[in-house]
Amino acid sequence: MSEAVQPTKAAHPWLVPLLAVVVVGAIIAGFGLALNRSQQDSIDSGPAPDFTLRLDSGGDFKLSEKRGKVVVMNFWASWCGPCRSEAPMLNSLYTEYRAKGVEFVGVGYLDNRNDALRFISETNMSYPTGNDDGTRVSRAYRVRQVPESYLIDKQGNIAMHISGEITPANVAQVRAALEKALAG
Amino acid sequence: MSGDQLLIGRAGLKPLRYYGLVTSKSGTPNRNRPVHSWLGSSLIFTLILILMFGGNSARAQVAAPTPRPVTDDEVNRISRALYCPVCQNITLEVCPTEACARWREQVRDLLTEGKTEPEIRQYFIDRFGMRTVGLPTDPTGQLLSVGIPLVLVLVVGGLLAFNILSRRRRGTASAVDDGEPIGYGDEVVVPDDYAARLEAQLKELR
Amino acid sequence: MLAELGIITTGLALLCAIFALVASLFGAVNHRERWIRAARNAALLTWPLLTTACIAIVAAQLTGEFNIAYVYNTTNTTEPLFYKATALWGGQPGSLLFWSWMLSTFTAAAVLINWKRERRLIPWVITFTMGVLAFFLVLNVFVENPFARYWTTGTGDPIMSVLAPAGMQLFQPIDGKGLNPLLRHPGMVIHPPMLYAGFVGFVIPWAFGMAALASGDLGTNWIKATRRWTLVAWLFLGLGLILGGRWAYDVLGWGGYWGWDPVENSALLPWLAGTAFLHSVLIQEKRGMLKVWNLFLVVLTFLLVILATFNTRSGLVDSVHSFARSQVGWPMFLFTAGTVGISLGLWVWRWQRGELRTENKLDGLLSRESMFILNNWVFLAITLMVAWGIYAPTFTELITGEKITLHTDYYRYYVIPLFGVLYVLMGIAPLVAYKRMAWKALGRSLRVSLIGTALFAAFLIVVGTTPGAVFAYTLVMLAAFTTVIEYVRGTRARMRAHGESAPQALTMLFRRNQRRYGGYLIHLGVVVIGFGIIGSTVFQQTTQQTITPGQTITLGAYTLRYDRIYQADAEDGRGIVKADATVLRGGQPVAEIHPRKDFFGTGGMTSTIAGQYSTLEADFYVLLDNWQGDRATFKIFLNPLVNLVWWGGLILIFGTLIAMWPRAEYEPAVQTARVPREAAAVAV
Repeated sequence: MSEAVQPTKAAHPWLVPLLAVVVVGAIIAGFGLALNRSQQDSIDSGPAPDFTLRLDSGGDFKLSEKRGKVVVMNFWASWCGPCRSEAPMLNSLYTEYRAKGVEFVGVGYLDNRNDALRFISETNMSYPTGNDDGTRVSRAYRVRQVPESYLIDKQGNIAMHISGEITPANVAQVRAALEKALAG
Repeated sequence: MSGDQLLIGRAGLKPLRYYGLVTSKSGTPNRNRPVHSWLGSSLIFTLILILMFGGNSARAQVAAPTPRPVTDDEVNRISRALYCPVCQNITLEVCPTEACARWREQVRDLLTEGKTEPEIRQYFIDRFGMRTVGLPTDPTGQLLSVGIPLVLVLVVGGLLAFNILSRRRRGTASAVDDGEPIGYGDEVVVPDDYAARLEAQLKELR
Repeated sequence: MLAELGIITTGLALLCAIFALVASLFGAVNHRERWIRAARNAALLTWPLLTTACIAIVAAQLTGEFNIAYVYNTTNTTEPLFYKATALWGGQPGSLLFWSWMLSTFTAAAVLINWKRERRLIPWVITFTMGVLAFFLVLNVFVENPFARYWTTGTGDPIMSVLAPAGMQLFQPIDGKGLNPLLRHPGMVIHPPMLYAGFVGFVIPWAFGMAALASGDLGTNWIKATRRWTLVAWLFLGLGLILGGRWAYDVLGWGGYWGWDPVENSALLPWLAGTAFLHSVLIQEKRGMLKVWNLFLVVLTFLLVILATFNTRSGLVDSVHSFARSQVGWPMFLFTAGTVGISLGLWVWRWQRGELRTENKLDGLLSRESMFILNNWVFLAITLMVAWGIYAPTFTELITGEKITLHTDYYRYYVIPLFGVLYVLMGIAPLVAYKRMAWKALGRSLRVSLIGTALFAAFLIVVGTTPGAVFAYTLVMLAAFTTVIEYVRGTRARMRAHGESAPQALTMLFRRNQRRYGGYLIHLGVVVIGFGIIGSTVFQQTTQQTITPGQTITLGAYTLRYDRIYQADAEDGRGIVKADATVLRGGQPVAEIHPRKDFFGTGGMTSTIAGQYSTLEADFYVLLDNWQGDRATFKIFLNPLVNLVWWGGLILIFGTLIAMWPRAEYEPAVQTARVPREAAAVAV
């Protein structure tokens, strides 16, 4: 066919390769970032992501405003059995440490309004709680199941991450961590 | 298998064990209208507009204070357009997990209260995020998800068209322009007047 | 013994692949015949090695060697033989081995067939195929080794390792976990091999394309050598997609067959690019044009194949089809980036040197060439929109932090219309002449098609249906008319020219023009599928109701009468709840169906199997949703014309077989011609 063609050089020889490198490079970099993100597991340490939570009782809970205080966050849902089991434990911890200035906040995860309200009244949840609208907070903390609890120290770093229920078996550790955070 | 306890594991969302503990409140037969209709290209533009502006429009609603019976079909119809907040790309209608069953019940409750479909969708967006609907309703999301690829397609297509057209050979009389396609393969379906011209040219050579 | 055999053979295969890669590269660059020959032999050697490895793992699965982790995870003693034998691709490590074996097989075949014919291309072909094979074998040996076994010290949990850890013994579990219950379906036997054959099949045209770029042999040799490969790979990929849809339709229980799931879409992408490539190469063969396009398209098809396998295995996108989390993510990412760089780099390099230009430029705005270019563009537009649908949620989350979902609505409004454009192209392009055509001439050619289509549209309007459906059906019908008219014209031309009868003429038409008329048959298959898709999507009806035995549910022209419900245990430990129901049409019973739910083990996994009454007209599709006592909730779908999708697939297979069937190569007829003296004196 027409193989005997005189090859002619393009007008701007650097344009297409440059464009190709930039565009393709950007796409590849994007994929790398996305892959990195998808492989990340839960956050166990480091600075606790800031958030603002609209509380059921009114007002907002903003984490960064609590700098200088120890904060306990608990992700829960009405459809979660272990959340129901750990509720008395959490309530008693709250009663015990509230006086020492520890702030407790519950974060409702993927829950319907009525179900959530029912859960709160059934478990006599004594500490403030709010619904995680748009799952913003749970995504920031990479929460994918409940219950999850986070202990945040006075400097705003995650001191302890309890993945699962707080039971008599591990509550001693939780207490120890709380004391440590209060001291530090 | 008798009525079992629902195993709500700590792993969060388990498929619902349908051991007779979940019932649906329905009973009246429902004649359905066809689900969604295809839209020609002229209607697509209208739809794009509706998508962009209609999703957020508050419809004047007549508040129905008394609860009304809701059929499974209505719940399903609305759930079909909503998506499971946890699993990706699965509609609320077909998602088998227990959480999704609860959310379908939430849809039923909202319907019973008299909420309209846009209100129910907005409730889900507010509570569970933009991922519960199949197309973003906010401008940024729409730009990123629909605007950019459309623009890319048009721009790249335009560039290609320009490139190709500008390098076109102009004004050459080409051999075949009477509409008969040249066959490929062994068989050549030769148009009559082409054959006649060929004969004439061969005669000239002799 | 089996594990050791497997480990050794895969390790050796990896060494062979690496050697073949290096040797062929060296031989190709320096034109050293002996190195190329050595590379070929090493490449061919990978086949018996990998076949042995595959036989080893399958034998282990059949005999229940549960100390091998992969066997433990994919089989158990109660699993039917059927599924044990196909558990080779039941999990990540085994399916990677299957991939590698398939690639080795295809490479061996391609190399052996083309060894004598394509001397310039073959060395590079070996380089590129072995490069890909080496990567997958690296994954198979170091990252996801199917022959890793369980070891224990006697106390504590067993650990998984390929090589024996010091001081540990083999741990032999009593029984395996068994194949994921959702995968226990005939679909599992055939869908993955089809899909892999399609994916791996496209590696060969890519390798030849890359060989063309690397060697400088940029004519049609690489296309001619891979013509059938492309068709076969395309067919397998298409079938894999259709079968996947059928499988989902049968067991997933949502009344549909395509969920726009990211992994489904990922498999669609190479099919789209591959279809564009299939068409576009015709122009290069005919007129030497579109070289840039064709090389780009073959590279894109291959990259989309790698991207598809990356998506499925890396966990980058959330999907029901994803494999369990594994370590292959970053290696696959690096490999993908590398192949993108090398492939596009070579392509741009040749383009910059101007070697992809042709002397044949586009003549007329309305020409077969321009139709093909438009075809390419529409397919690429669809590819971009679908790819956007897959990745936009991931990237949006990276940028804004908000997670979005792009699903049915997105595809319905922005992708389906582009498919409509393709049907229009199918209806017009076959009638457009090469080089240049007058618009009036096209009008004349199209006349019959357009009249037929208009009549059909009028018929639909009279019968009564939605405007959208009229529009959609009409577009598809245009393509049908044009294709049928092409057959009619061709047959009549033969009848006139050769005096054959109509059936004879039609047969000879296929025989002498396999590609063209086989291709038209494929178009007809696509048209039939189009009808099926429109009917089953636009006119789908559904209802969900709770009834007691003896009561009925009516949907459309069909009625379901619920007879009884009962529970049972299957021999493989499944718990089954099944309902007996009768389908009535016009008051007459037409079928007995048994929708059921299967429960597997304590994990709570459920499979919902629909009861179906299928006719060409519609599928009456019944799911058992829930029950309490004998009150049962049924979800019913009425899917009109859905069976056309599967029948269209069969027509597609038939058409492709015709198009690619090997023909006897005809000897050119040689005759000496006497040139008249006068003509010889004329300067040509």
